[in-house]
Amino acid sequence: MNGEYSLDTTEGMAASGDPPTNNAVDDYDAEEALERQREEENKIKIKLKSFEGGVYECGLTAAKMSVMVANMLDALQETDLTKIATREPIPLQNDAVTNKALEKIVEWVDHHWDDPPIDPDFDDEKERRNEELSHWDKQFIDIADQGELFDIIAAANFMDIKGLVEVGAKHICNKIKGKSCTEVREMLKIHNDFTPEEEAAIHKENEWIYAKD
Amino acid sequence: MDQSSGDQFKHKRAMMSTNDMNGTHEEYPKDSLDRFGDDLCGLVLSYLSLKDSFRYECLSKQWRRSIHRKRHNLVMNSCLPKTDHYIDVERMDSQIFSSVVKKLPNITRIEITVKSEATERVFEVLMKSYKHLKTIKVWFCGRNDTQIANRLFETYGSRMTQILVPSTPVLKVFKRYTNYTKLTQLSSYGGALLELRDIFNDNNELLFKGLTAFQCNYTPNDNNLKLLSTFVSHYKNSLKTLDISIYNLLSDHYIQSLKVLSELKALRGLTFRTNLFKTNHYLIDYHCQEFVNQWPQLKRYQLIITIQSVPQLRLLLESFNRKKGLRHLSLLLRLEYWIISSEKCWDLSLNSLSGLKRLQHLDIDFDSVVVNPGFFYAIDTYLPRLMTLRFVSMTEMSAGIKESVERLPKLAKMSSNGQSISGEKYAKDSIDRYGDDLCGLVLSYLSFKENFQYECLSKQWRKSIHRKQHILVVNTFPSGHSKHHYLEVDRMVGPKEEDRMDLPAVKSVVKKLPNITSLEITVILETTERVFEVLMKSYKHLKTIHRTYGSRMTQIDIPRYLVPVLTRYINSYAKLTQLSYCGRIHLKLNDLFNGNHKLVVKGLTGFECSYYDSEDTLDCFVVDYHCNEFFYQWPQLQRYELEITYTTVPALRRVFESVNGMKGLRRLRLIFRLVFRTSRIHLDIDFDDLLISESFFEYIHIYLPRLKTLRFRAQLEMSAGVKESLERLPKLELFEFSNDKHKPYQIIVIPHTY
Repeated sequence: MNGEYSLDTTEGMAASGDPPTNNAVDDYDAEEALERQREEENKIKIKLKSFEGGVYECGLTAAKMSVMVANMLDALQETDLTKIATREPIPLQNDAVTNKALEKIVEWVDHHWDDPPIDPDFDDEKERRNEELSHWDKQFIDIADQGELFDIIAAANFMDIKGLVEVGAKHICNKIKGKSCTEVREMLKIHNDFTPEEEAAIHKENEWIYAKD
Repeated sequence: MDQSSGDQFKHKRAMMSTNDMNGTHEEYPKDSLDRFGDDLCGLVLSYLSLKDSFRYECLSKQWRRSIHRKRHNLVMNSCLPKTDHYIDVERMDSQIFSSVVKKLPNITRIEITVKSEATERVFEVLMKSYKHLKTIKVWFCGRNDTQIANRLFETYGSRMTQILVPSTPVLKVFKRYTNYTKLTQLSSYGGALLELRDIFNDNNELLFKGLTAFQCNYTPNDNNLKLLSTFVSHYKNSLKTLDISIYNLLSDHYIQSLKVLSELKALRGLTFRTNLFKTNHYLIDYHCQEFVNQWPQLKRYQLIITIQSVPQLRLLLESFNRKKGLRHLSLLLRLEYWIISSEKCWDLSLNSLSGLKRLQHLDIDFDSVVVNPGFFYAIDTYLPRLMTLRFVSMTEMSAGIKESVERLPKLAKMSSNGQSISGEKYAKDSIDRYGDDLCGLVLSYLSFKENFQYECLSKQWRKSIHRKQHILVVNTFPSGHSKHHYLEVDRMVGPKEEDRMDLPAVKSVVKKLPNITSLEITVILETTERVFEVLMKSYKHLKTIHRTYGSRMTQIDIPRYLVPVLTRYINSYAKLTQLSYCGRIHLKLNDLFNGNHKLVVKGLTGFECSYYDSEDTLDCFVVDYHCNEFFYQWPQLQRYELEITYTTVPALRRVFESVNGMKGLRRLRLIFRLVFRTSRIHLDIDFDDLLISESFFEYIHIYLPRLKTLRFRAQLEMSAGVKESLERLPKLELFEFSNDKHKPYQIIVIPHTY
């Protein structure tokens, strides 16, 4: 589970690595200092270039929510962060990263860059699976054009932005809920590659889910 | 996606491994989920509920392959209300269960509520199937399962990581064993609380050394303080969460205990329950001034207290402010009964919590206190990170409060007094919970006009309301359908301009009705013809077309004067199955033949014609034949319609009685003179001007016990006697009656005696 949220720990946040003996007050102050640093860093704008060539500006801390971008920036070994701003835009070489998708992704990380990290002290925070999406996220991800929605999810996955993939996944699964298989196939445009016999066999296999008491 | 292109990438898909990092493949449409590789697909689908993940296995091979791949958590049974997120294993066949487990290879966390021996067997299957579980959480249920608990603790205790015990008997069983090497969380629920001494043996030695979470009750006992010291000195650097209840302690003992507890430096979550503040003001002062300062490291704090007066509340609320690092705060207040209910606290405000900039979850239960509507004012400034908010009080939820709360940028959930203020889960009593298919099916029972009227109700309605409409009726004769059920296009030539329906309008209607397979159209004017052309172009797969002309037509009702036109093109009616007349003149049998006496329409399953050239009255010979022979030749008939003119009343009676020989009849229609064709009448007797005695109906319920509809015309007074007779018909739904051949039928309500 920890691996799944490596995003937060790679940014050196929180008490994850701290020994439990750490003075708690320092803990809080350290966090505070780190937060201020993140805030400052986010004022530095970097440029991201979509697969279609569009260039979008994004705060540094926000951009680093993409593990891929963070790794690329690390590889630059640039100590003076302000110089990053003047560099060439970072190209995102995946056809899902369209102009529209990248614009939305920048909007998302701009809203979420100051989210508190996962708290390793509590089991239930390792698992955000069952948490409902915030209103903002719901509005953000309610995109009429399904192709665009899938672009965003695929692009976020490519850029390794766990939180945004999660938002997309929850949105899709919420939409599926309660629908018949045919409806889901229709909605998500899934090609049924089963023969009718194969499909019937699967239904039989899963009869238990319809059991009533 | 059509079939051929689907086949094309069947091969492709087999060749591809996960393509997440390579991005998507152009072969798949952009808006199809098929474009995702197995990994991303599995990730997205891992957010489905457990049952849905099995339900949708059949969607495609990719789904079947990847849908369970990223599922790490498995919940068996639950004490919570039924959801789709766990498997109810109590009545599940073990073979089925094994096959379910086989499909879920990557489970690392199991949560199981032990209810019965069935659960025990499931537990064994799980333990054998999953060797690398990180978390095993076990709830024990009820009081009578100590034997099951005993077996489970004995065999699998060493693998359990979280245990919840409900009662002292199970706890006693639990304490028989000492093999809990992996146990990190121990708590109790229900009536009986774990006592601190329960985790010590008789020599006051600590039994469990690896806990990170513990819940216990701390009661007055001289020995307890010693145990607490032992506990704290062992756990000061490792215990993460503690839930402790302290009741009925003396003040000194209480403060001493709290000082000991404050040594727990690794503690991040504290739940604290006490009733002591109600008796001792000194204690609340201590709590607000000292205690809160000793736990700066807390991230979660829950306080469940009984207090004496409202001023204490303010003090408490402000004291929280010093725990700057708090992320979860929960304050559950219990007021002493003698405090006047609905106490008003106008000076309270969330301003008191403005130091808690990191707070994400806030849960306040003020019992019966009423706060100022301004309580929430500027909540988005004071608590900018709040994600969930629960608030209980006697305060009325005003628009102002809602507005303040909605300004919170990260809010996901807000509930007040048990009601969710936001959130989109569909209520059980909302039709929105239906999927489009079911929604469409339900709505297909609306009338044609209502379909359009309600389109605007929601996106889902708009999408699904026409989906199951298969019949389209264009124009109609006055009797056939109620006005709401058809599309009236002849109004296009109506007197008023605004009443007219133009072709684009018809086209837009047609576009909304993609699934029409049956069309019924009454051709009135040229405008109808144009509409007809639109329809023919739009619907390529119609199964039946009623009342119209052309090669695709399957049913034709045609007035006599058009027959020559019909016969002119008669060779082209390849799909015609029913041909009948409308208007007052019959088709004739020879209309089906061409000049060379050859049958031209060959696919008929229904035909309506007149055999006699003139509408002669029946002569006696015909009546005799009809009554004595004819009936017996049609024993298979279920519906019979007889339309004759008569000469004498006895002849009529004989015809009438002879019908009795057709025992299989379900629908009978007798018309003793020419009338318009009507439908849906089960028994229709038109005696014209004939005078009928009241006793005609006397035994109707015996003779015709299944009669549903009755239409009757004759010279007869509608007396109480007749009504009484009809009341005895158990199935009668509709009775239409006319006692004058110039007057229309009237519906007469017959109350059922049942």
